[in-house]
Formats: sequence, structure tokens, C-alpha cells
Amino acid sequence: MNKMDLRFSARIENEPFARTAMAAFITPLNPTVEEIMEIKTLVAEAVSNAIIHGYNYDDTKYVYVKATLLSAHELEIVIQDYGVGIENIEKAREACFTTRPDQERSGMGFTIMQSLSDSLNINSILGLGTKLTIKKTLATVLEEVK
Amino acid sequence: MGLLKTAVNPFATMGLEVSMKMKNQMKTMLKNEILTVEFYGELDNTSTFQYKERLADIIDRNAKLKLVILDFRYVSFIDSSGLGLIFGRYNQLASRQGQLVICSANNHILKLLKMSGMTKVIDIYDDATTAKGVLNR
Repeated sequence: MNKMDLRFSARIENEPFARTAMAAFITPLNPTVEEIMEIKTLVAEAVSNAIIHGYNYDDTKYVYVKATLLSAHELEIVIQDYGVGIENIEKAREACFTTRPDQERSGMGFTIMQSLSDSLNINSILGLGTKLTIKKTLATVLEEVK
Repeated sequence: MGLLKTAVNPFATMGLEVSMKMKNQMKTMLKNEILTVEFYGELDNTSTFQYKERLADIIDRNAKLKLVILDFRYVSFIDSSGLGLIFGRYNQLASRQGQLVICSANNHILKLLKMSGMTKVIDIYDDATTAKGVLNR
């Protein structure tokens, strides 16, 4: 089973690093361009949530990103923070809901993660942190005609 | 060795080549009460905040603006912060006479726009020239 672990400071400039690292990690799976974009977006949404909402930009804290290839085409991504936690998970999942309307956020993070993934599991405890488990199955190429 | 797959640069298809060479930036052009905004690179949390401040200011100071065109031709990545930027400017213009349209969005951007429901209220065009034609209709 192929695995990957990342730990980095909760600085927003590390978000592009995390999604790019994930894109590189899945390259051996021969993903389509669309699949790469979807996975990068999944990581971008989850990691920026951890930095912005979980830690409120406190860069003395760390964000954890784990990836496991469950099978040749099944990817599991875990994104974890030890921040404030989510007060109301049902509300957070709602489209256009944001706790930061002042920052002009779209409130689309969870909606995007839900629609781009095969499954999204949210584990959060107030004051302890949030752990997102995302599963994504890539299409199998059966035949390539050249 | 001869049986190996043709060597393909894995980054070429990932938008990485574009984003590595191209600094994230935004160019704005104002002509005949039309504001054209070209974004370059990636629209994510590291870039959207500055763009938002700059655009909100330009729109505020140009009360006669009829049309704002957001051109995504050179954008390789967008996330929910980018959507927030678009929707914020849409709302800013909706409170007055101006109109906001989008052009040259790739499939990934279109997918996120549809997901957010924005395509119901914001018109999308193939390119900037077609988008400018909206004023003549």
C-alpha cells in the first residue's frame, strides 16, 4: 500500500504546495486532467479550511495531510487540524454558508468537496480539531487506441 | 526500453507547467465604460484577497461602468475563494446599473461555477470579444 504524509505550518502559501504535492503523488495512477483538477481542488478546499477556520491563520500550528492508495485506483485523503473544530457540521455542509461573511467567502468549500469526492467524512470536536476523510476513485483506462 | 510508454512530461497535463512559469497576477483594462479583467495563473487563497481589494476599489471609483468582463483564459486553477471573488463583484455591480460577465472559462472552472449556481445569474461567453457584444443587445 502506497502512503504519503505531509505536515506543514498553517500558512496560506502552503496550500498550493499541498495540492501540488498531492497531484504529484497520484501521477503514477495515470489520472486524467479532470481527475487531477478535482483532487487538487479537494485538497485546496480542505487545507484552506484548516488554515483559515481551524487555526485562524496561526502559523505556529500544523496541518496534516495523508494520502493512501487503498487499491490501484482508490485514493483516500485525510486532512487534519488541531484547531477550533466545527460548531455545526450540518450548517457547514450547506451551500453558501460561511462563518466569515466579512471576508467575502463563497461558503462553497464543503459543497465542492462533497460533489468532487466519492465520500466525505467530517469528524470534528469543538476545541480539539477537525479531520476530513475524502475518498476518490479514479477511472480505470481499459483500452487506449493509438 | 523500446516497449516503454512514450515519455510524457507528467506536469505538462497538470497545469503545473503554466503555474510554475506564470506568476499569479491580474491585469485590468478600462475602455468605453467596459472593464476587462484578465487573471493569470491560479485563483486561490494566496491571490484572491488582493484582487478583491483592487477590483472593489476600481469598480467603486468608476460609477459609470456598464460592463465588467472577467477573463479566465489564462487561469489554470480556481477554488472556492475564486468563486467568492466573482460573486462579491457580481453583488457589488448588481446594486447599480453595471453587469458582470465571465469569458474563456475552462471545463474545471465551468464545473465549479455550475456547482455554485452562479451560471443561473451570470452569463458566460467563449471569449472577451463576444462578451463585449452583450452591450449591443
